[in-house]
Amino acid sequence: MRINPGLVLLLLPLVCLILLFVAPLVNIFGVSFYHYEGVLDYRLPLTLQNYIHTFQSGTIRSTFLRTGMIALYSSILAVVISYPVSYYLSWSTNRRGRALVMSAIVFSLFASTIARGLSWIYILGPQGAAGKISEFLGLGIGSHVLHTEFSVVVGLTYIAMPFATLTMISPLQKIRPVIRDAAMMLGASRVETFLYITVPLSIPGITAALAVCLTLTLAAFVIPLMLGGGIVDMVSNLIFGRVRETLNFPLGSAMSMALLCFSIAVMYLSTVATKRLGRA
Amino acid sequence: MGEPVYGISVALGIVFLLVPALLIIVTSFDTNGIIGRLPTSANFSLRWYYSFIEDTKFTDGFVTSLIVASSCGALTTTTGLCASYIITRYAFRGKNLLTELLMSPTVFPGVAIGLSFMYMFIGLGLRQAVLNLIIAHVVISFPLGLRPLIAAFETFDITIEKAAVMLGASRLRAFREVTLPDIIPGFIAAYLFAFAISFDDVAVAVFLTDVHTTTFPVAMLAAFRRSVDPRVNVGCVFLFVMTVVIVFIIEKSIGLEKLVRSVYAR
Amino acid sequence: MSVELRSITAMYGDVVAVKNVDLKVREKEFVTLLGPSGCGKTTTLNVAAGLLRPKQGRVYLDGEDITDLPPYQRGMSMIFQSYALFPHMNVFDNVRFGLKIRGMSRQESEGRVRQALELVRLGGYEKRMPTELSGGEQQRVALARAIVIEPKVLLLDEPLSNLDAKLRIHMRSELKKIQKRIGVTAVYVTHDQAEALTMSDEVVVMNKGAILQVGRATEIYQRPRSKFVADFIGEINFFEGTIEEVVRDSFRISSNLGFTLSLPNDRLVGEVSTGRKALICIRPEHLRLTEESKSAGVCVVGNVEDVQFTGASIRYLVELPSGEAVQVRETYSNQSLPSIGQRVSIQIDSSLVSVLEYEL
Repeated sequence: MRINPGLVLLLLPLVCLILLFVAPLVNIFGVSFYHYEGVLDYRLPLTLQNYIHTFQSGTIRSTFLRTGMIALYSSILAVVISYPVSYYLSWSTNRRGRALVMSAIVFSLFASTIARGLSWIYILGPQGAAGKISEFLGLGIGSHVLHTEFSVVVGLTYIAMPFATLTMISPLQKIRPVIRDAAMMLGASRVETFLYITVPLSIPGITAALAVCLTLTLAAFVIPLMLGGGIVDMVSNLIFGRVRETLNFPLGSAMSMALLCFSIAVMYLSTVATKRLGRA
Repeated sequence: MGEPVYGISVALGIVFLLVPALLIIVTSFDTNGIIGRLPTSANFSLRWYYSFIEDTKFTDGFVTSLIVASSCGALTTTTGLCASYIITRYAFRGKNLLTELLMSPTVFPGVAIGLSFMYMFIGLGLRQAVLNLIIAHVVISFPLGLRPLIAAFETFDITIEKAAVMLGASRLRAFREVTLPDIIPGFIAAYLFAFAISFDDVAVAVFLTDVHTTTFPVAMLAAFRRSVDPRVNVGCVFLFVMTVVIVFIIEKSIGLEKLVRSVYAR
Repeated sequence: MSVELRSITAMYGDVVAVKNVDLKVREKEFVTLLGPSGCGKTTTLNVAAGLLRPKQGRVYLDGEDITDLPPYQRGMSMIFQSYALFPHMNVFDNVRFGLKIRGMSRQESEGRVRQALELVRLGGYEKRMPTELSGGEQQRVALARAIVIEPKVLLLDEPLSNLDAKLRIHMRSELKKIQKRIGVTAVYVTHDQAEALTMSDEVVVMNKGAILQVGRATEIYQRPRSKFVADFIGEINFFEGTIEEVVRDSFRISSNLGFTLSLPNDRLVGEVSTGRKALICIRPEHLRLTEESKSAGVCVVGNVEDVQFTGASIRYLVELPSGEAVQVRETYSNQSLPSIGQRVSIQIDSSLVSVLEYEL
């Protein structure tokens, strides 16, 4: 069999790449079973101690729960807020409008997470815009919003929005406009057409967008750091703490594996739930 | 479509996206600035800008990030080229599996990747932070960088290339002179995606930086945590400028809508 | 229910799709809007449906002005070219949709849905999904869905265009039968003249956003009032002519091919005045071919250039010395057929000729 030299050239980087991808996974999986004796001191025998600790520790458990809730809230919010925008981008005939909105979305997509997180401090911080506005309106809520789960959810929603928008555009475009006309001709008002026709047909798009947002938010690191201020930690922050300070790789790896499985579980459940809801 | 409600919700969505950015830009000029406080007086100056540029922590970090991001972009684009060529041109068993595998890093939390690479590099005795960062960043940016390349290859009409080959060009030459120019926009998109992801990354970088080497976002984060340093604000403005440049390049080379459609149409 | 459109002008963006169109559809009538693509027929239908707001003009249903009513309050039903079945619902839910919106419970609507499906011969298809149906079946579900709500008017936008030829012909009569049976007023849009002529009580011929002629199928065919209508429906031959003399109720017209005809005034569309250029029109099936020696009456002589056997008849293309080509249709008979190259004489029966306004 003649081996095409060109093909080999092509395959080489690919093989390296695959090794590079597989290495971390194998690594984490393996290391999670090591025994941690101290900084940089890992040894056999293999143990399940790390996993046991992960499940038993109250802190870790509650962080996982909190992470799940925050991720769920922000993903759902992001999808809900982004839906009209995606709808607009799919159906509007106004080229200028679409270009404008698209630029805003792509800009947000590429913009630095730190920068976007920082901007919310200006709104939610003790001397921030929200505080000033609520003061002005006589509501006393403003000043203690930062460093709470609320602020992290807001920040994550903000980050997830462009992802949700872009994911939903293509599925929404697959809904043929003539179907809505048909519904209206059968007597359905615009609201009824939206509820009975457009929404059910949007479910695939919504499910996909939700999955994308959940992947993002469950692994969040920067936003909880900035807007949670050490009080509201998500799993990524916890892992960072454990590893960077004490170099406890085994525990960190075990927690990472747990996070991975947790993410997959949450995504699967949400997909099932949205499909169920869509049928209702 | 319940016109007013619809229009308002779209407008609100866009405002929600853009207003915070505006706030940062405005406050970066506030002379008496403290993070989190809107300007109380109309005292604007470039005070924090000068301070920012003078601080080597930030400038070194910026340079490092630039090096890492551009290398990462180049590497991702090149390997992405190989991968997408193979994926779109050849059919073989396990092709879907391969594609899934190449897209898999998205499922992994950034910290997991950072952590495992840190462990690997320490174990292997590789202490070159910049190199380590580049490698790790290629892993996280590959999935997203691959998409525009695959889209570019898929939309390219292969019969044109075949025609060139039939007219006598070698396969390599046909590829270089016929196919390549057509997929350049896909390249640009892939490069910029990889660049942006690498530059913005914190979750991975935070494990692979050390006392001597740090990336821009990591430096900013450190400054942020240490004190209410308004220079972080300035850093953000620079980041926004960079984003605008990137978006501008994309618009000019492919056009935003086309890009998005090609990447997200699945 | 009768439908009337008065002075409708409608636009798509900056393009004027229909200009100053008046349409009257009487109760229980089957009216077809016929014309080539882009003539404005679908636009007119959409205005009647309420899916498009006219820039000018009003729409009336049984005398009531419904122009400002949205499509879901007009009590009309529409069938689309692409069927537009709801992909996420099965046949039963699709047909039931209109009843559901009107507040009928699932149980109450069962009977009516079943009836509608029986009418379109799809009984037993309730549980199927649209993707499992053929084109013809989808169209029938769309029909059932449209009629189950007992609409006042049924609008049909080229519903048969996507079906294959045999099915199309079969569905034509099915549709007409059902329409007559349930007695609903129907407005039908098509570019297929055979469909229009076979199905309609009245045909409305449109072109470039305007209505050119309205009438029964026979009228449109035998008495076209403009060159476009004459040409669009069936085949026709045009000859240039000049009016020579006008004598009380008849006039004499001479063609540029040499023959002269004497016709009663009612055969002329337009002004009767001496010296006016006009168009002499005659359909191919109204011409006869004979041997040159046997020719009698008004005739022109030429050579057979082409013979096309089209099944029920034969189409001849005869080239005249002047270079013009004339189409002649003869039904197959036992007489010997002229062959290519043969010199023949075309007999013109002046009682079947019309004269139209001259147009290029």
